[in-house]
Amino acid sequence: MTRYLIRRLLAAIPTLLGVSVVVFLFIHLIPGDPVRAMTRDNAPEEAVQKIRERLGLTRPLHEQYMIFMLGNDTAARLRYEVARLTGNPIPVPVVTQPFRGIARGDFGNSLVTGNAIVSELSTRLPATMELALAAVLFAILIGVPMGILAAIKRGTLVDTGSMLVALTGVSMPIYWLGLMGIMLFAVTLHWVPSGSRLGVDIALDRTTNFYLLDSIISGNWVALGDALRHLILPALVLGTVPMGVFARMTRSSMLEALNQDYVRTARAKGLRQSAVILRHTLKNALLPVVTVIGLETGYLFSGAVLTESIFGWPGLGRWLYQSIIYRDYTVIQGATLVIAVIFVFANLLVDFSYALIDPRIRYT
Amino acid sequence: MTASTPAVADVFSHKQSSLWTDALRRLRHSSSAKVGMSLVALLLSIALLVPVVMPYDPRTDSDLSSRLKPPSRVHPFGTDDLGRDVLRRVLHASRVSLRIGLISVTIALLFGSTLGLTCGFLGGATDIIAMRIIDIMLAFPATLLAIGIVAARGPGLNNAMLAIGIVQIPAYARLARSVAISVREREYITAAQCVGASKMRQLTRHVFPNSLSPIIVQSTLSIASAILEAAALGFLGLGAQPPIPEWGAMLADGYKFLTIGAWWVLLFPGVMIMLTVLGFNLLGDGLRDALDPSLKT
Repeated sequence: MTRYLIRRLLAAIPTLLGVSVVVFLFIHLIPGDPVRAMTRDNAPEEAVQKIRERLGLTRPLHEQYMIFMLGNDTAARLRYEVARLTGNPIPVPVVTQPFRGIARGDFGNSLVTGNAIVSELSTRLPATMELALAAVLFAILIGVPMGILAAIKRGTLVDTGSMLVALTGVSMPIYWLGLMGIMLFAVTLHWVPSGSRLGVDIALDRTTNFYLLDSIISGNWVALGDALRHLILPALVLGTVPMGVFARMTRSSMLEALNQDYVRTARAKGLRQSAVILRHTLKNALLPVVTVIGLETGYLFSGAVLTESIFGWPGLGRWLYQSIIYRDYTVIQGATLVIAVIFVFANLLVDFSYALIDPRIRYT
Repeated sequence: MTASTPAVADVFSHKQSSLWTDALRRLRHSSSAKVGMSLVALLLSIALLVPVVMPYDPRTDSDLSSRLKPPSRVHPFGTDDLGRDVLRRVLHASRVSLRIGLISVTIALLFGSTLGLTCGFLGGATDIIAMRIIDIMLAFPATLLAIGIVAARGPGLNNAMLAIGIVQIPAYARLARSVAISVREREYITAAQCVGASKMRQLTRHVFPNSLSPIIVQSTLSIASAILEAAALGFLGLGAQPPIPEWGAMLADGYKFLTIGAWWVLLFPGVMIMLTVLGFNLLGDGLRDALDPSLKT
């Protein structure tokens, strides 16, 4: 098992490096001069040049990547060492504005607000993760039983109805569903708030920035109730598409498992239907469902851009979207990188859970 | 011996059914495929006929005296904030959405399938390098990657189509590669090699035609996701630009009037997106069941 885990972890390294190259190159894909694209047309050339220098865009590409990854201090030190070893010594470099590089957890500062990206991430990432986890929980709790039921009742009205609901879920433009939800449940019925994470009059000690967790830790039940009321509608909206995907996948995977010989044997032994389904079929049908749950992580982050924009949810998706609008390239790079890394690790987790569910995989 | 002759003749005279006739027969018996086909046919008819039946110029359509009017006999879907007829705009937007769907899927299909088939068939270093690049592309969530590409190149319909096409390339490449790997082991490929067919000929005459059915299914399903993504880009203001009627952009316009209860500006474009995507998804599911019964769900 350990060897399998190490092998999978090592295989993720080239992908992560590739991701860092793509994110780094993003700024260079912009047609023309990225700094000119960021500033107004009439910005003086000296100011534009200053920004270019601050972003390190005047240096050679490989050096820019090194700075991006390892920081300007390491890059300067390497330049100094290379010059010394090749017999053309240069003065000891002095780094006035140290940047530690993304490999050391420094994403730099926002070009628009000047805030450190890491500190912004520490509040925004928990917001998105709380929303995404709630959405996935809803999708699993509704989608998986719906798929099981449809498979058991194959060919009946229950099957057709569930699959129609699932396919409609998959075909749903979630931003539209969100808007209709706000109109019905917030504007007309006043059951839930229309946006944000917590009411302005609610006090909460924020230690983890997962508001549900924070309110439980501090025993603040008023805040817990309010955070839940704020969370429910965006989570349902974001979870609609995964719910449909899980239901369809569970059904097809259950149908395949139900046709296997071991299920017939279990039935022949005289086992109750519930034991056949829960102990023999479901466990074997779970593997493809787990894969899909992992793959949906990517969707959840894409969906978060739209859901967070509609519900004014102060998370990573909305921040990324705003940064795109304001052409805040360092934030775009930082946020995209974090999302891509989470996506790669979510797929690694899926691989590990495979190995836990199906021992055969560890030995292949 | 003579007695068996008619039986042999019978066997040869029996009309052989090809994959495609079989598929068509199965497709006709699938109720979900029929619903999907009807929805797609309806949408295609709307897109083709609407310029003739209901001509429309988005630049001269505003009528500020009838802003945000609820549905009535004159305006069955109501009017928007510039007094424009929502029905007319919703119907004309079907042309834009279909165009985005078809063009972006064509981009993905051409590049992705060619790359996947070639890599799968040839194998070796080309395959390893190309698939690593595809892995890296897959590490970015599709919509985010599309948003990033449009953000880099500037908002607009053409860039949106290009972005959606690019983000769909990995799915086609992976699919075509896996199909090509299984096809290259078949006897007819060995036979083609034995008679001295060149790699190019094997690829174009044997591997490609025999890999078509999963690629067709993927295309139908990805038109649905392309339309959804295009509408999402439009909603974020990165797709079609005003005054071009596009469902996502119409929703973004209507968003501002949510609190005053102007439900009609939001309801109809959304329903159109959902029905279109549902139609292509149902058709794709039906085609998958018809072309590859082993995948039947």
